[in-house]
Amino acid sequence: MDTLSESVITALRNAIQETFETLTFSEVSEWSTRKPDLSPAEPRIGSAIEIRTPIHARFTLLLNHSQCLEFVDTAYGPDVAESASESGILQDYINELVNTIAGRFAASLVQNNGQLLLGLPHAIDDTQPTPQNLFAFTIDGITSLCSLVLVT
Amino acid sequence: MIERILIVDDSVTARMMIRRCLEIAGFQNARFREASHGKEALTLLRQDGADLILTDLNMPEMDGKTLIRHIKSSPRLNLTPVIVISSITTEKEEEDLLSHGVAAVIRKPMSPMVIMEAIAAIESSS
Repeated sequence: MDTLSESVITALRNAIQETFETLTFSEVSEWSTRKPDLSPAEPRIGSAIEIRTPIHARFTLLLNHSQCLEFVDTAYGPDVAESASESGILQDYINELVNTIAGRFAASLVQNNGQLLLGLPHAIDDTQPTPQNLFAFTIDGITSLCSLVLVT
Repeated sequence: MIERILIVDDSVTARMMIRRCLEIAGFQNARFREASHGKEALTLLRQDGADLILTDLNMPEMDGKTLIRHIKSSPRLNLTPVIVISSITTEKEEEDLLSHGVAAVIRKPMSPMVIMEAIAAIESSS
């Protein structure tokens, strides 16, 4: 397993905090590398994106499904949130979160005249967290997960 | 006067957020159109033009930089102000975009205030 440096972990954490604070008006807390005790039945929604440069990695975000709906409700109102799952807006919302987090994270690692290249965010079917470079964080008391896996 | 605004982003929620920011910034009476990638944006622009274009960079089909190249090489469109709203901009990237005629570069996530300031700067320079 490729171990992430402290600076990379800090950059990722900062990107996640900034993005959630601005887009969901929520504070991220309790950042941990210990796999949390998660109820297996708890529905989650996930999105992933490939970061191509300045590092080559895959970033994945898993959110509690109900909490993600609350974020959409806060941002766009109950009319949008009501049909967000069926209309695809919920998936689009987490895709955009992933895109923004990955962009901010990767931009903070670019040095001198380096390039920044991302793939496009996409839904992931398997919302079971993988153990590799897994981080848990809490928003309003609810646990979310992310992982950053280096591609070699 | 900005009456026709084109928002280009492959994310529905990003387009909704940008539109909401623009409405808060005072453009609630503008005519908004949306495109999910550069190709679609060019089709809309060739039909009816725009007074302001806001575009993401990282999109399928045709990315933002290619769209901007097409706009800036078009005699009909090249004076239309373009604002880039993206999460993948570095300082160098921003300088590069501005040197190629982009009016402003805003990093995601954006706020109504930042968009308002960018548009005010565009309007005062035109």
